Amino acid sequence: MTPAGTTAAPAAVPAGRPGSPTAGAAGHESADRPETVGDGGSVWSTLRNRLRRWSFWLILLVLLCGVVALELLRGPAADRADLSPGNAAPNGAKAVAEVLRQQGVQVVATDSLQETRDQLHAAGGTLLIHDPNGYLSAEQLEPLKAQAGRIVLLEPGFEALRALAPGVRAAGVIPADGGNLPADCRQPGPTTAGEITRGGFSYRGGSDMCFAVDTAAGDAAPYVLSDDGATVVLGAGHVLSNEAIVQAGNAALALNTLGATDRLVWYRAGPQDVPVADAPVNPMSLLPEWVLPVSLWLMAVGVVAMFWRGRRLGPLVSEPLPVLVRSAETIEGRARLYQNAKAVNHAADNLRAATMTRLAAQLRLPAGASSADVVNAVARNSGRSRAELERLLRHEEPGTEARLVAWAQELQQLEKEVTHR
Amino acid sequence: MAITGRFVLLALAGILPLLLFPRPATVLVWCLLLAVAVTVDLALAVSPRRVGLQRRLPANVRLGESVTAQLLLANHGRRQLRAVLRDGWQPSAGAVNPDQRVRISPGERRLLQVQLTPLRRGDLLAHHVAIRSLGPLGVAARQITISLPGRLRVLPPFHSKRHLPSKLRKLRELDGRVAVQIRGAGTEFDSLRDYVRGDDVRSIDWRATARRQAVVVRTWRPERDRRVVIVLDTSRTSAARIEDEPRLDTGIEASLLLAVLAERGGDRVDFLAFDRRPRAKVASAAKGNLLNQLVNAMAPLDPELIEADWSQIPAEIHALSSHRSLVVLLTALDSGAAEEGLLPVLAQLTAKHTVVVASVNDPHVDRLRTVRDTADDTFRAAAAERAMLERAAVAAQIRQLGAEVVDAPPHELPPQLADMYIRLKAAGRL
Repeated sequence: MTPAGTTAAPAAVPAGRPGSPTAGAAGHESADRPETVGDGGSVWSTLRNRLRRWSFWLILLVLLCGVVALELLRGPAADRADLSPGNAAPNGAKAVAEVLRQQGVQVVATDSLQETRDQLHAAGGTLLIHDPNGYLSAEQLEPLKAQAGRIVLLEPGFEALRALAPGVRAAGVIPADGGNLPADCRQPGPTTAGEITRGGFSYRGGSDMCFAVDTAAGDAAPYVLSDDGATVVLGAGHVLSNEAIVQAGNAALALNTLGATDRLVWYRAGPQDVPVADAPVNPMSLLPEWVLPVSLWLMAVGVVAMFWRGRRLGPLVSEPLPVLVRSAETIEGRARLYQNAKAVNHAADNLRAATMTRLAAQLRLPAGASSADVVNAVARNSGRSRAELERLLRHEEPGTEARLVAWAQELQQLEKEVTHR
Repeated sequence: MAITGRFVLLALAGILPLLLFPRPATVLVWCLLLAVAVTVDLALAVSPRRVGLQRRLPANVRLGESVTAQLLLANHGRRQLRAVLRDGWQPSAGAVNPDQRVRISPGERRLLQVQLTPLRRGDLLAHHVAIRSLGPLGVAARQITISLPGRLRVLPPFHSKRHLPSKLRKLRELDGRVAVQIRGAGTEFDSLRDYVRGDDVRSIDWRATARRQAVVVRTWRPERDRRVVIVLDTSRTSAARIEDEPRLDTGIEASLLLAVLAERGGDRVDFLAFDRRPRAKVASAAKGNLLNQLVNAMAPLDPELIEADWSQIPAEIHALSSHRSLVVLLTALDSGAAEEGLLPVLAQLTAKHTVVVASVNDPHVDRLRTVRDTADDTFRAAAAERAMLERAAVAAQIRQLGAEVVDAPPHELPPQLADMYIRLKAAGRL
């Protein structure tokens, strides 16, 4: 890096006393002004000023970082799923799970097929299967039948019914309005409960149907026992919910259905249970290991480069601009006024007056000459007839813009003829 | 502080280790390396607060010429200074090389030369010098801005100077001081001399001839030591741009030519720039070079967006010269402004002085007048005709009040005004 840009060779002169410079180039003011050293500040004052100027953004950044950190540290989100044994909200089923626990039933919540199998393998018990999104296929469900002693299917879909309760068919939704449904069957649990609130899904078929409702296609019920009697299909999921469990005989039905054995495996199917072959491959896993860190680093370098280019060498210098006005602006303004006001005859008067003045000057007429004098003089000096000139110069009143343009051109033509004679 | 392109390259080089060891530890190590490099560089860079600065500026320059502004740098630090400087001139100063790199050993000085080609007349300002002092590694720099005001006066270009020789020749012809012996125009008696063949017989002084026994002729010369007062209007009408320059700049050119010519013609010139108060004044009584004083007074003039107060003009002129003078008013003949401001006081001026009103007219208006192809054009032509008629009316009124009018396009105004002066001088009306 040489001191390029200095036009003359930058002469290195020995430093004398500051304030008494060596003679400057000829023609330059002798430097009476004292030498200026520094800007009167220090590193710390500059730093303080910077901090003060950027304090708002710094505080904002700190707050943002704090919020992000807090969000990360708060751990997993609370359980908000429908009929989850861990959800204490009105749509959850924590109440029934807790009561069962108090009654000495071991309630195990699982959320994967493998875990469920392990739990059943370990100690057996009743299995509750809740698969609202239909993740599980019949092939996955079938083996569970052998492992579990008793199965409760909570609002099952088509696949679950095919695998675990072959004789039961779905029969649609039970509208929630209307009175309670009476048990009206031989099963001990529902009979104890007496009646439950309306709602949920209905099914038909199986060996017994409780709380049946009449539909156009025959009876359907929210509580159906499968043909072999080992599987309960519970369409009335709402009886387990924290919100509705205290109403009618909901609680009795829930406790009797789920608390029949001293162990309950509460299985909620999740997306991780979808068969592996169907899951999409994560594209990131196909890339080499270094791609992610290198691209992040490149982004960071990009930000650094912005700081490099964005730092200005000193503040901007303002330019005091003098005011300047286009001189023909008023003419343009007046022309537009004429046009907007459709002042055709006013414009015509201007053109006529100017032409007359110039013709009079051209033909050496005295200053006080009348328009008739001008017409006479023009008639003598051009080949045109008097009548035509009278019309053109004195009587023409162009009413329209088109006529005005044509007449203005005629005037110009006449002027040219007279001038070039 | 500032980072350099070298720092960015160093950061970019971090890709290599990251390719080989794509682990968070690599990122940490490289960040640490960068931080150390920056810290070392900042610590070892010469503090820009230990650099002494001194400006050396030429007093003034004519518009259109280049000039060198000098900046004397002294390194009072203990290490070698490597720095990039920017001289903070305003953009119209036309600094060719405001950014410069320097390398100064401790205790030495260096002269930086910044080439300026000003783009505008007036006082051009430099506000500050920014210094970015680089560290030995060249990855980071310390930067401060030092307030270091400087002012360069840019004088009007005086392009109309080229008309001066021809006008001076005319002036000498009036004087009779030409190679070819002619009688000389003018009304003031100069001297008696012997008749030579070719002299006008009408100029023979018979009385002197009777005394001398040889034929003697009278010679004449124009009056000398008359007063010329140039009044330049800097009010809102002077802001109008006609062709390439504002009316004010044309007025400056015309006044300069007239002033130089009148001074050579042996007259005394006063100058006044006025809108509602005097903006610049040059009195004939002052010592020194008239042209120099005039250009210095005119350089900082700018059009003011206010209406001129013509009622003060007679008193201002009286303050400059209480004798009969040639008063030249450089203003605009726009109907509204002139009718309300200038015309009422003109009678007062013409009663005592010979008055010339000079104004720039716009050749563009003349072009607008002749274009009549569409309705738009025709209305514009009508408006242009209207403006010219009004202008002619104002000029006629001014002539009726006994003043002379010079109305010319920008490039012709200075010579035409000079001709008017020569004509008036020849006619003995000064």
